[in-house]
Amino acid sequence: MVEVEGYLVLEELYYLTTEDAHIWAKVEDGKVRSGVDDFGQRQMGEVVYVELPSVGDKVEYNKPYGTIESGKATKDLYSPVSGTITEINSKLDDEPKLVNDDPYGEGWIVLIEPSNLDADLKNLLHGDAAVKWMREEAEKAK
Amino acid sequence: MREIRLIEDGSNDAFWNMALDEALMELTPTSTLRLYSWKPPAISIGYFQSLHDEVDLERCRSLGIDVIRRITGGGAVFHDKEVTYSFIMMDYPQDVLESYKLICGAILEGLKTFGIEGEFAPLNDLVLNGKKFSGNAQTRKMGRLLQHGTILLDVDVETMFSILNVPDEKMRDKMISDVKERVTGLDLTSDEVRQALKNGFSEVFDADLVESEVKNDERLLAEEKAKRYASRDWIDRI
Repeated sequence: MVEVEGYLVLEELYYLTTEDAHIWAKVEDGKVRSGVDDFGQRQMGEVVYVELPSVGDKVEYNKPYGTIESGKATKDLYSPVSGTITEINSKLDDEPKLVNDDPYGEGWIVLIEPSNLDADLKNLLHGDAAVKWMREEAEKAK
Repeated sequence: MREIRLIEDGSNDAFWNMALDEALMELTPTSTLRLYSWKPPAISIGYFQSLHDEVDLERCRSLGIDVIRRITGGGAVFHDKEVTYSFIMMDYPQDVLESYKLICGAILEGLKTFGIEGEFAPLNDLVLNGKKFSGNAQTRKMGRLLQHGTILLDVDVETMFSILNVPDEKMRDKMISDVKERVTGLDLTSDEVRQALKNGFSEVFDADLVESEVKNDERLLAEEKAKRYASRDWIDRI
């Protein structure tokens, strides 16, 4: 775990860095767990609603699958990989603030069965590259 | 100097108003400020609100008030005597609070040119002498930010509360008197508020406002979207 200007970056994760997506992906037994990264949740402020997809829904790399609201602002949630939703974090219906309190843990949003994992992972930033990117994001936000 | 595209729109129904904001968000090539109003009056609810919890649909129908769900966050708003703006930005602070401060700051700056010294009340309100005169809401999609909001000229609190459902009927009178205490219209004409907004956005964003019509592709997309905004599937979503 690395702290970049106060924002946590986990080296084992992959980050979707298109526009202001700020989405993490974690490969677990061939599946991909995903949520909002620490920088993303901090910029949003307290999350009050998360609209989850349904299990079985198809998702596409860098395309929205849901919506999140914080501070009277809605924002699209983007999928880090293409595939099918196999699990959703239903706890977020009652406790959306888990996205803020534990963005990389209890605040996860979806689990995806990927259909094109190797190719999609090449579009995500990982390790040192993710840390460098986070530094740039933090710099822009100052 | 930068340029902001300016669309001086008139009064439209709720479906067209929200559809055009969304179509512009998708298609406009540059930062865009649109000024408009509502005819007939309308009540809009936030993306995540429950229609039936918030709005007395029968009452709206009998009064000829449009009912619409926004794509932006926040709560129910009664749109009647007001100037509404929408602002689309491509390069914006990711921090939600900072972005409200920036855009609401433009409104405040413009109002100063008419002698009104309002204040920003986080997260998303503007107040004058402690009373709210403007509420604002946002959405962010594909690297673009849409903020729209109202500048109140007058508030018909009785009508507003006659179409809003309240959790406890016994509280309705108290809520009406509270809102009368906490909300105010500005003592300006609609044209003055429009001019104030133009002054403020030009100054704060250091930009020339370039007046523009709605383009054909934007109009066609808005027509498609207006159908969705008017559909039960969308309005009754939650």
